[in-house]
Amino acid sequence: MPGRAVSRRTVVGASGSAALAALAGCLGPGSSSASAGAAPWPMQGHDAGRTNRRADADPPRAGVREVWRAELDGFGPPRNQPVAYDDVVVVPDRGLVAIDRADGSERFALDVGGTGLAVAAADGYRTSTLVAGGNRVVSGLDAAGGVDAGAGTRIAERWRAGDDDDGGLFGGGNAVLAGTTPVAVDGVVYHAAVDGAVVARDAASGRERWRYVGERGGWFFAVDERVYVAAFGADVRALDPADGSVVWRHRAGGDAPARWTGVAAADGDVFVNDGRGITALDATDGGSVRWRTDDGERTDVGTDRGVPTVVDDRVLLAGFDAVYGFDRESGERVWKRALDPAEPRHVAAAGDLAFVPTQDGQLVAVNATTGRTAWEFTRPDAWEAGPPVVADGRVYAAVGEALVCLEGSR
Amino acid sequence: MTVTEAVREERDGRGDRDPADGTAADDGDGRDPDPSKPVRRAIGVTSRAPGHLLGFALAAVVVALADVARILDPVGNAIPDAIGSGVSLSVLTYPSGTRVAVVPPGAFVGLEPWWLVVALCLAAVGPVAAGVATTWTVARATRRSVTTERVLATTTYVAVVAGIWHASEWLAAVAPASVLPLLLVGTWLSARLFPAPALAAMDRSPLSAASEAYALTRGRTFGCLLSVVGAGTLGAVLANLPSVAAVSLDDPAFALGTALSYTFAGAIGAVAATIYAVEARQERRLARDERERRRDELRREQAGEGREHGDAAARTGGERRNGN
Repeated sequence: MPGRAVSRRTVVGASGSAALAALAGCLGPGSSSASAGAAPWPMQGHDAGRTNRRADADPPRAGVREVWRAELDGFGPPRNQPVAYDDVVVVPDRGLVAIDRADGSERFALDVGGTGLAVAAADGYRTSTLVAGGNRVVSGLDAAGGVDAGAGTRIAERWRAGDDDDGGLFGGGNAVLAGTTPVAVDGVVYHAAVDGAVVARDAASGRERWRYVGERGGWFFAVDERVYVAAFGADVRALDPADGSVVWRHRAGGDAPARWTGVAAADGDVFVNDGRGITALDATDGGSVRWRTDDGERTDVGTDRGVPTVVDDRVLLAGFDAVYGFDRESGERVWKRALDPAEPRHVAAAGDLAFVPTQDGQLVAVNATTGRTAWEFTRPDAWEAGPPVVADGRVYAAVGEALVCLEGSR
Repeated sequence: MTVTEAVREERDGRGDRDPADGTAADDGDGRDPDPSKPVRRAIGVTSRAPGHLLGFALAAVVVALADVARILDPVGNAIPDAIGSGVSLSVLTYPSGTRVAVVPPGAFVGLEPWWLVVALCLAAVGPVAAGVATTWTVARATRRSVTTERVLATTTYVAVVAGIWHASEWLAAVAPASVLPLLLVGTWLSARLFPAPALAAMDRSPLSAASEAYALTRGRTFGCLLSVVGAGTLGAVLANLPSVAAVSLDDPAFALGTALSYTFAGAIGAVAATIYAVEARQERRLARDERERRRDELRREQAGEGREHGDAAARTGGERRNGN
């Protein structure tokens, strides 16, 4: 074959230049970032601080009625909260099912095992990343549902990390404990790993930024100014979100309980389920104790399940057979409602209402400040209700084996 | 040192004697070319002339840089946590090598056009580097020059194979039932087309290289499969050795493993393919010459018999005429 001879130096130089040009292109200025901040309920727990409250929502206050219902394939209501973004509500139900918020029709379904959900901005992508975290694996999916590849399959997975065996180590089945589900902020997703670590990962590419492994694990966490990690029998730690280094730690001294579980954080305060109630820590003062709910009565919230809900003037906590409202400034117990909250014990709130799904199939809306009942919704065929989300002035909740959309007067 | 010289030296050093059928080979060594065990012989050739490793060593650096870029860019990766933490089965499609950062099909969905271009360019770095390195290694082994046409032919072949490989991976992701058939067909084809990159690097277009490789491996699929698997296993072992010493997933030792794997498996694979291609061609040419020689002999015999028959017939006819 006739041809012009090329020197080795030319060949090697050309291939090296091509690689460097591509490398420069990757590290250069990026394109517009997809925004997940405008989503009405972008993650379980609503925000990275897990306050589980949407302040600017205007939920129905009376005359609640069912607008539509979408049947679910799973057995009973999903134990993990749905998320709402764009014009869908995504329910973790034997995979993920995206339901149109307008009419309840199914938009797409994804066959993934993770039931802990968070929508994150994805730099370089036109659509956000829907992070689905299981007990062993976490994956980043196209939040718009990907593309239909036929044969009931959709191509949507952008990345995956962890062990493919998503068998439930903690909690029931594939359900992920509230307080350990992924959260996302500023294009970074934080999730719990099977080795007890808290991992920060780029939401677009799935690249691991850092990993923190405490000596006793760190299953429960929330993200505000810092990443706050709590583990049963260990200190509460504040981590630098940039590199995962420990900024401060709160040591439980004396006879104080060290059975830390669910964490919520907002406005410089960290609220930790201490096994008897709540301990409020001042995040701006090295984790010093602001108050502790010590009124002589054992709240008995369940040491591994309850996550505090933070509203304007109250901190709510669901126990085995009651829901408690504590004063946010003093920690004094203001109200107690003898309800039977369903799993997960993390009460959702919107505006001035809090929504308590019960184990007998009711969804009870109470005033978060006073604890008085605003309305109740019951379906005769439902034996259990799931945690709701609020969007468009409507409440979306799994009741029995269906997702229902509720609206009423506001 | 050319492949033929190195192989001859290796044979002489080991005292090996190939079965001879009395036909002189073209290189004058008095033995038949034997394209068996090309990987083992390629290791011998490379150990005697380590310069063969240079092309793939440079390619490994380029590929490692591209891998870093792929991990740092916002496009999703199948193995985002480490370089070299695993070995891709793409080694079956030699010489795409032991690439580890793979872009899953879902990572392209919703991607900004700019990043789509970057992702495709980065995905092309591996095949291009492998194509250039293969051309250089084959040229060095056979004392040929590196020409633009040869680089283009080899790179095109490798890029097409890599594209087919990724397409099959995506198909497997969409239709899991297709995994086994794809694996079987892919493995069989990788064995049958084993010498194709070397042929493309010598003097063939990508298509004719594949066609000739397919013809040259007829009847030796299993042997070639062992060669492909041998090169792949060598790469896998080398890639995984540093992981023993690595302390974490982002340890640079993983990158070292990938570079080692790429360098040795790539270079040895290229030399092995060259040995096989050169000798199988030679064997095929000898076989063809032998067939033609036998055909000529047969023709001559038939012509001789014809003449004898003709003479006999002429004699018989003359006798009859004389008798009449």
